[in-house]
Amino acid sequence: MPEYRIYVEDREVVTPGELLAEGQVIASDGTYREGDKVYSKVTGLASIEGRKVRVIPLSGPYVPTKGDYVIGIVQEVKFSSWLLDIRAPTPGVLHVSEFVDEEVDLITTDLSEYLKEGDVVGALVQEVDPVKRVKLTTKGEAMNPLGRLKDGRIVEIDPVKVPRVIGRRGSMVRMLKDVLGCDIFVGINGRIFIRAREEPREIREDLAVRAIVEIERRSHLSGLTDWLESTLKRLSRW
Amino acid sequence: MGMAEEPERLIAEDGTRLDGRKPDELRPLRIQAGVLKRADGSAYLELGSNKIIAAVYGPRELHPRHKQKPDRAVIRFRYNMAPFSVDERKRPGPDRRSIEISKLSKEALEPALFTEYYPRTAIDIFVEVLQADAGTRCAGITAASVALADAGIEMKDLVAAVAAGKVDGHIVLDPMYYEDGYGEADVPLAMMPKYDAITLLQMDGNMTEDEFKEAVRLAKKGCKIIYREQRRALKRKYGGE
Amino acid sequence: MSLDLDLLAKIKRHEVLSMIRTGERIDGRDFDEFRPIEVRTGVISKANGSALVRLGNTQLVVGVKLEVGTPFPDTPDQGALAVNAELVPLADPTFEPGPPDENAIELSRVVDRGIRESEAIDLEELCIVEGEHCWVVFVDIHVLDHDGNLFDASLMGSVAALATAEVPEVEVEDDEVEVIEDETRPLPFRDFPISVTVAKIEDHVLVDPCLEEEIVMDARMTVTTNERGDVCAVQKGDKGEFPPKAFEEALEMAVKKSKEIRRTVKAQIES
Repeated sequence: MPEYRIYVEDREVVTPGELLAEGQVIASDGTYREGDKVYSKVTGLASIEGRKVRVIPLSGPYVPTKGDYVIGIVQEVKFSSWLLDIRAPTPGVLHVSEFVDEEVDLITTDLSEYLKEGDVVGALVQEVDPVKRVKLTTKGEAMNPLGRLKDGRIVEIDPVKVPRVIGRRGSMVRMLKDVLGCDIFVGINGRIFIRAREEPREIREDLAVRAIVEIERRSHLSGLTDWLESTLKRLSRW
Repeated sequence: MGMAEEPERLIAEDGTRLDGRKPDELRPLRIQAGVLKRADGSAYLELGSNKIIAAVYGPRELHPRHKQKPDRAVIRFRYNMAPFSVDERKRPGPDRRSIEISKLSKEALEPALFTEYYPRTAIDIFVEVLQADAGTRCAGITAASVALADAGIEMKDLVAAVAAGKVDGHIVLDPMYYEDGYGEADVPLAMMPKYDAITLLQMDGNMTEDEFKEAVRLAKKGCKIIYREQRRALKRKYGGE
Repeated sequence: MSLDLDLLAKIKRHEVLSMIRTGERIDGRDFDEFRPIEVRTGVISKANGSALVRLGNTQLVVGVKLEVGTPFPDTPDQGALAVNAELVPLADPTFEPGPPDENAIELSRVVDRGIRESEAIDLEELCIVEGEHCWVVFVDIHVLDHDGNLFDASLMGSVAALATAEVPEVEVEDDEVEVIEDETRPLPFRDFPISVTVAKIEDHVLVDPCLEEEIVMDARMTVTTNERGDVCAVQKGDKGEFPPKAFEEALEMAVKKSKEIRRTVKAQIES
């Protein structure tokens, strides 16, 4: 008498309301449980790992999760914090104490001295409270720089395609950085910061932008990293 | 220039309808998911001569702030008919019928959405009727469901919708233009098929209680067929078929 | 996501500009190249004429409806033309429901002028009873997906819909007009106006701006020509300016391009 039954195959496309499994399974992301049964909440790919059932969404907004590295853009300067657009349904809040080390006299200081509207910031999602308000911080350890990001440019892609830009164990983004000589900081929220490390800066950054757009477009193809590497090497004769 | 003259008989003795359908048959249905670039999710639907496009924006920030709900998303639905969609050109802009349909459609879809996952945001749903041939409010809800799923919004189930009607004494599924205009009753219905739960129901005309129940039963049956087509459309888009 | 449009423009400006300075556009086109054009007529059977237009990712539907009405007092022997554009909210996150805003109004009026000034519709042929009854031609543009250059897409669609529209026959008896729906004749359409919109970004001019280029451009100029190649309408839009060199380049590019676009659209309609 099995403890559980799985009704879909790994990597099968499922739709909201579709019955995925029944019984003693671990109902993970993209699923919901009603009594004994586990259903999909979204359109996505079913992912079955033993007893763990989840659905990887094929489209959808960026949903902030604690620990995510995101690239935000300052939307509003407030009294003791900044509101950052992080491509989520609501902006993230960066409190002054999560950005600045020294004591700031809020009465006499205008926070735009530190960060003004339009500034680009690398940040970590510190906390997502029960009503989905997002608190950000630039203090801590991250794979990519935290704090204000200057002199580069931004590309935005579907957040769902971010893993493709990073690649298996970071292979894709590492290749782009090496071949093009650019810093490339990939935010989980689908926003990517690019800054050339050497001349010719504009052309390197242009190519990086084009490469990322191509990855997004061709994300479903295999052999993408190799193809892109040879194409970029060919184009980057300077 | 209104509807052409009433046809003599809408249904033959053996139940065959003006367009050759049997009483429990749907018009040809076609659904395509993800047809617009700008919208977060979209769908195009054809049901008989109906041509409908639905789009979803959101979840997105809702302004002004006082309209936000602290614990859930605000759902907004706008049903609109293009001026050229009907026989007599319709002046652009919402009329009372469109406003009511918008309200009921929103109420038909909201039960299926996990609105509590998106507090303080708005989920905006738009339906544009490019060509109308009876049953547009149901077709709009059907298309909107697909657009919501296409946008990646978390849902308990898809919502399928279709109308039933009473024509020349027969209960029929998915009335077309003449049947809707000259029939005795019209019953639009929307449901979440997984729960067998009705989320939209209207009736206008003249029916006995039994006839009404039969119409509801028939409409639900039609919804199950439509539900399969909705799922197929989504799977097709993502290479699942 | 609700990033301020100005903020978006700042980000996009980098991308778009740096490429333009090296002679390239973000989608790889040449400066004088249009995006792929698809025009399909007869898509709305309830309309007297209709067309679906795809210009790159921009999509819209135009419906032509004919109604019997009264001629304007100053043109008693002519039919009437009314062009309306709806920028419905589903077409773009910034479009709001409501009556036409200044953008929708400008769009309808530019398309209207293109059709009217080219005298493409023989309005006299649309008179039913002089001073009393005439055909009113409603051209309704319904934008579905906004990825830039709604002007050219709208005029293309309107012209395609009009060129393939049918007018019902009428019988007039005792001052009553009876429309015979089943008997129709082609709408008297005797020209083929085409518009070409040119965007100015710094010193460069480029045709058929996509949305990202529109967000960044200083100004635009829409030039409408008739079949003979005469200019019948021009509209400069947006808050930037056209110095002499840019103006001449834009005008030349537009007139030159319009012949090719006219051929493309006609070929699409015929197939």
